[in-house]
Order: sequence, then C-alpha cells, then structure tokens
Amino acid sequence: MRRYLLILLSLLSIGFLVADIRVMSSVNRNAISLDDQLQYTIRISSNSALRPKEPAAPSIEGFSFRNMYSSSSQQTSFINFQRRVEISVEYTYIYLPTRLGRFTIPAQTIVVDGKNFRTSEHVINVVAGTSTRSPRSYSPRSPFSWDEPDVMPDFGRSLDDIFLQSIPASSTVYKGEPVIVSYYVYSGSPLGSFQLDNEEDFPGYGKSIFFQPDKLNLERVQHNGKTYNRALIKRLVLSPHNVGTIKVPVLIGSARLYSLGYQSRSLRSSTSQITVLPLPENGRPLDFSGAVGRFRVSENPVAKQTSVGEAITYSLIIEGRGNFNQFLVPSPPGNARFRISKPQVADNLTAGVEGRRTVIYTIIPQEAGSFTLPTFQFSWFDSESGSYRTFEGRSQELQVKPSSMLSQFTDLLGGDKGRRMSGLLDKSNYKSYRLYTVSLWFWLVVTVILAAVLISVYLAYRDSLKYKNPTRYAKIQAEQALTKHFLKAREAAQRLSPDFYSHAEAGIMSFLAERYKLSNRLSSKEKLEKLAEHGLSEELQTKLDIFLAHCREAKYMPVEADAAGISEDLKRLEELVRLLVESKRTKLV
Amino acid sequence: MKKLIILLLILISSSLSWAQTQQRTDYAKLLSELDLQAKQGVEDPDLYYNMGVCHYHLNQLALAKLSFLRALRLNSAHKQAQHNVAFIRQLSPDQDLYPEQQFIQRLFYMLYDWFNINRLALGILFFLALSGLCLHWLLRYNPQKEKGLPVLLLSASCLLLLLFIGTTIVKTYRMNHNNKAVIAYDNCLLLEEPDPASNSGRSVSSALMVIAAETSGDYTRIILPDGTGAWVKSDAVLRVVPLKLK
Repeated sequence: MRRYLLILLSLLSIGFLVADIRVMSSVNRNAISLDDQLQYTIRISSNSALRPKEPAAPSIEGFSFRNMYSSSSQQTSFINFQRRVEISVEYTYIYLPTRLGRFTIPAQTIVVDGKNFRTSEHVINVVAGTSTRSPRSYSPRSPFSWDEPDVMPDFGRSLDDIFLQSIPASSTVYKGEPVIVSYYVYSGSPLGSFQLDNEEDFPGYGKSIFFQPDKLNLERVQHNGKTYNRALIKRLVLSPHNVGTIKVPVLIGSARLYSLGYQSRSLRSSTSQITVLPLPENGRPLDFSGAVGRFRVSENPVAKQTSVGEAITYSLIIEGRGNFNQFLVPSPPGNARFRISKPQVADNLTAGVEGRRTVIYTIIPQEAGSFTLPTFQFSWFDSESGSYRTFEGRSQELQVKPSSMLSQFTDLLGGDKGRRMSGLLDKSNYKSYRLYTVSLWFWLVVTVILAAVLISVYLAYRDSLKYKNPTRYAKIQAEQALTKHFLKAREAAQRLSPDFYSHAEAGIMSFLAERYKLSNRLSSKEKLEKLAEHGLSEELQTKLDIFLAHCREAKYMPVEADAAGISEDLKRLEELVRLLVESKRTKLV
Repeated sequence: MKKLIILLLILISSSLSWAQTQQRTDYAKLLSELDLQAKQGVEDPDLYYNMGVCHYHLNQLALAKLSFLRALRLNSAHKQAQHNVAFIRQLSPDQDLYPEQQFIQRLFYMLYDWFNINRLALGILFFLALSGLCLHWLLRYNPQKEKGLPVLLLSASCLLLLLFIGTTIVKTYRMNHNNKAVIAYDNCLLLEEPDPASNSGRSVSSALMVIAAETSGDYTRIILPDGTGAWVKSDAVLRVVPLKLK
C-alpha cells in the first residue's frame, strides 16, 4: 500500500517538475527576391531555466549565410495564484539568396537540456525582382564612409542624370490601411554615398519607418530605356486617416557622385499621390474592431478538460499586414460560469503593420460540469476583397471537474499569505466603534494639558521678570504680600481678633520693604522716613504713620476687642491699601 | 489494492464536497445574523469584516469587497480587511486598471492607513503634552545658556502635533464623506454620457473599486482606479457610505 502511494506521489511530482520545452522555427517571408534577405529564426521556450546548445547555422541550398544574432527574454505572470514563467531564447540567422528557384530549409535538430527537438521544414521561393542584381556590386558604402569605386564612370553621361523617386506599394488604399512607400535613388554615374537631410510631410496620414538600410545596396536597373545604378534609401509606412487624395512625404538629401573626382548633387524625391477610399458603411459588423488590412485569423483551442479554479488559455492569432497598432483586441465574451481575463497581447510585428499578433485569454471555470465555451469573434475590413469579414471561433465543449485535492493545498505549499482570504474573527459581541476624538475623556485630557501649559507659561513669565524687569517683579511680590496679609487681617477682623493689627502692620511693612527695597534692619519709624525719599506723598505718609502707630498700640496694649473699632480700622486699612496700590501704579509704569 | 485507493479517493472527494456545502449554509446563516446587527446601527469594523468573509464564501465578491471597505472606513488599520481587499483585487480581471505604486507611495499609504483616527488621537495627546513640556522647559531654561536644543524639540513636537491634528481632520472628513464604491456586477457597461446611447465600448467587472463622483438621474459618474471617468447605471454602484447616510 505504502509503495503504491509512493509511486502515485512520485508520478504527481514528476508532473510538476517536468519542464515544458517548445522549439519552433520561422522565416520572415516565404517568397523573396534576390534583393532581399532571409531571416530564419529558431525559438526555444520553456517554463524553467533553459540550457540550450547554440544551434549551428543551417546550410541552405541557394543561400549564403551572412550573420547570426540571439536574444533571450523572460516573462512572469500569476494566473489563478500560480506563478507562470516563460523563458525564451531566439537565434536569428541572416541569409542572402544566391540564385532563383525553390529551396527548402531542412528541419533542424536542437538539443535542449540533453534532449533532441526537431523544427519544421520551410520552403522558400526566390523570385526575380523588378530589377536584376548588378553582376558585380562594389563595396557597400555607408553614408558616413567612402571607398574608391571600382566601376569606371561613364563619361558620356551627365552628372545631373540622377533623381530620387518615391514608389507607393499601392495607389489606392482604404482609410486606415497602411501603405508602404519606397524611396530609391537612381543615378547614371557611379554613386558614392547618399546623405538624407530632411523629410517633408503633408496632412492626412501618420507615418513610421518600415525599413531603413544602413548601406547603399546598388543594383543595375533599366528605367525609361536607360541603365541606372539604383539604391533603396528608405521605406516608410503611411497610415492614412483622411479620405481623398494624400501626398506621400518628400525626401530631401544629397548624393556624392564619382566622375573624375567627387561631386555632390542635391536631390528631392518625386511627388506621389495615393487615393484613400472610405470604409463602406454597408455590412459593417457591430463588433467591428477597426482593423483594416489583409489578415489571416486562427485560434488555438483550449484544453478539453480542467478543474474548477484552474486556468486554461485560449489564443486568437491574427497574421498579415494591416493597421495592427490602430485596432483594439476583441473583448472576452461574458459568461457567468467562466471568469475570462482581459486579453494579453503578444506582438511580433514589423513597424507595427506586418507580422503576427497573438491575443491570449485566460479562462478560469467557476463551477464543475460540462459546458460549451463562449465563442470568440474578431471582425475586420479586408482591403483585398473590399468587404468586412468576421472570424468566429469554433464552439468547444469543456469538462470542468470539481477542484482537485492538490489544489486545496496549493496555497499551503505556496506559503504566501497574499494568496488566501483571511478567515472570520472570533467575535460574537459587536459594539459600535468609538472614536476617541468624540470621547469626553479625550477632551478632558486636552483641557488638563492646555491648562497646565497655561499655568506653566504664567509662572515662567512671572519668574522671568526677576531677570528682565526686577522692578516689576518686586511690585508683583509686594502686591502679593500685601494681599496675603490683607486677607488675613480681614479674616481676623471678622473674628474680632486682635490679630487684625499684627496682620495689618506686617502686610503694610512687608509691602513697603518689597516695593521700596527697604532693609529689614530699619525700625518702622526709619522706614517711614525713608519713604519720603521715594516720593511718597506726605498725606499718605501721615496716614501710614498714624495707622501703624495705632496698630502698635493695639498690639502691645491689648484691650477688649471692639467690633466697631476694628470695623473702622479695617476700612482705614482698605483705604491705605488702595492708596498704596494706586501710588505705585502711577510711579512704576 | 487499486480498489482500496479508488475507494479512498472517492470518500475524500465526497467528504470535501459535503463539507463545502455545509460551509456555505453556515456562512449564509452567520451572514443573516451579522446583517441584522448592522441594520440595527452597530458600526463595528469587525462586524463588517466578518460580513465580508461570509459574502466571499457565498461567492458574492462585490458585496465582500464593499464590507471590507466599510470596515476600513471605520478603522483604516484593520489588517485582515486590508489583506482581503488586496486579495480580491488580485482576483479581479480589471486589476490592470489599478495603478502601479512606487515603494515610497506604498510606504506612505501603509503609514497613512496604520494611523487610524484613534491612533492619531493618542498621537495628538502625546505631542500636545510633549509640546507643553518642551515649552515649560524652554521657559524655565537658564537664560545664560544656548536655547538651541529646547527650541528644536519644541519646534519638532509642535510640527508633529500640527501634522497629527491635520491628518485627523482629513481622515475624519474622508470617513464622513467617503465616496468609494464597488461595481455590483460583471460586464458593467461604461458610458461616455449619462445616456444609454453613449456606449464607450468598455466594460468593467464586479468588485472593481471606484469613486462615485456625481449622480444624474439614474446614472452615476464614476472614476476608475486609473483616473479615467465614465458613467454607469446607478444600480451598478454599491457605495461604501450610502447616499441617504451622507
């Protein structure tokens, strides 16, 4: 039993560990002229790290090998909480055709991780172009370099027999349909180099570079009964967005010619026009994507079986030439039983107008059962037939099984918290969330802190006066002492206590001592004499003298407390305090 | 032996299937209890959070997200609700609409969320007390000495106090005027105008978080996570704070 389980687990593990390696080959075109170059690409892709052995350049009959380059890429995506990685390596080989005919690129054996993979064969037709290749082409010239031409100049031809010509691939196109315009320089004399200076544009189109040669590939051609050296300067793609007639861009540049020395000639390309037709309203499908061109549309159907929650992919492949960069990919059809992602687009395009676009939809079944998948559609305007066409995918049956046991543990094995929904909180008693900012205690604490701050500021201010304004500080201290003793005196007066006189005298003397900085060693009489020096009025001095004498008399010769007398003395004291406070206000301010 | 293994597998899958059905029933029952409390006016983030979990297990993604957002409206630091909002976002076919956030942005939002209103209130008390103490220290500082340190501390604590007060005001305002909403159903058509004829050709899926900007008749103007605006039918928008409560 244990052995069977181990075998079962091993088989399952192998299923996870085996890398999905795919090897494909492709060519940039199946029919080329002698002027063109062939690009043969071998693409190796896998869902894990790749260790391919670099394939040798295949030997192709009728072609000569020129160059090779490679590139690699890695794409990571998360589908249904599963990380998916696609690593790919591309090897591109450049060949030049050597003769006309039909040739086959043989199937190649590619070794990846010690395993052999076979590519498919490709048949290439090499056809005669509009021109014939020069039997002996001299060294390719960069516009920025110069080689001595090994062709003798034709001294009978004028050096002015040179022109720049724009040749649109089509003179009539539909609105939005891209059209390629080629610019050739024709020269009767040997052409050394060409310097492109400017491009003059006209309204009604958008443009992009389709092909920009990095050297002058000269060829001998016949034009109007004369033989010329011709070289391609540039190929542009125009995307007309106005109906009517549009003018193609004009190229401006200068050519250097060889004839008993080197001479320059300024050139301006000929003016060409293209007629742009509107897209017909009749027969336009409701889901027309805006695609205009010559497309072939196909699909990669999904797997026939899957489980709930497991992602499967569906690919719609659009190939050909058209306004790839101007149309939207079709939206996924709606269906409650499936969650279909927004499409991912993988482009392999030249100048955004020619090549292959793969639109990938990820489908996640939501429930178990046997279902018919929604069909995917794509509508475009076929410029070849001048009509709208619609591709409709085949109807597919899909068996969806309940989620597997292993998928229950996917999250556990993943160990990533973000892949799981957090569960219920163990709470049964709910109370409305209380904001502290609307609670009484919060504002009480704020009030206490603010009050403490205010008190602190006040005390600090008062203390700071000791250094900043000692006179004012003394005044405040004296006032406080006076007030303190005055309050005690009043209290004693209310009790008819003889202490009234002690407090009254102490208050007045301490006030005078603090206020006027009188020494405590002086007697009361001496203090009063000193007050005269501080500008205290004679009337106030007299009153003080009388009151203090009365206090001393009452203090040292106590008699039975007389309510009327104490009340009278309290009034006198209040009067004295008032006068003292007012006198120092006027003096100290 | 083969029969035994097959029998074992059948038993396990049957029990899993039964457990799933039982679980759904339990969640539905719990949800009705929680819903009753919510209708009685109890506004507890944990209550909304548990409602969200129930909605999720009943396959109601939009309502689940709405509940989690309601929990976060009250307590932006609710960790489980944050986690589940992010989780539902991962499931969304429209997740491309959510802008990619740089590290600094993420850090800022993380801090902003962690400081819920109650934490900010405690921060206010702390920095108010600290500012008071610093002021007291500064005022009592020996006038003969350089006052750089107490001035620096007082400035820093006052600045932080102002920051906390400002953030609390902003958060409280946003809590009371929360315009967040969730798309209620899949394939919700986006319109360019509040008019069924102005179909933009785009649609969004359920549980997409949007901002409900304005209402016109039966239509609501929403702002998608990528910042673009569109009109949808008002019944497609589930508001975190229902209009009548605003």
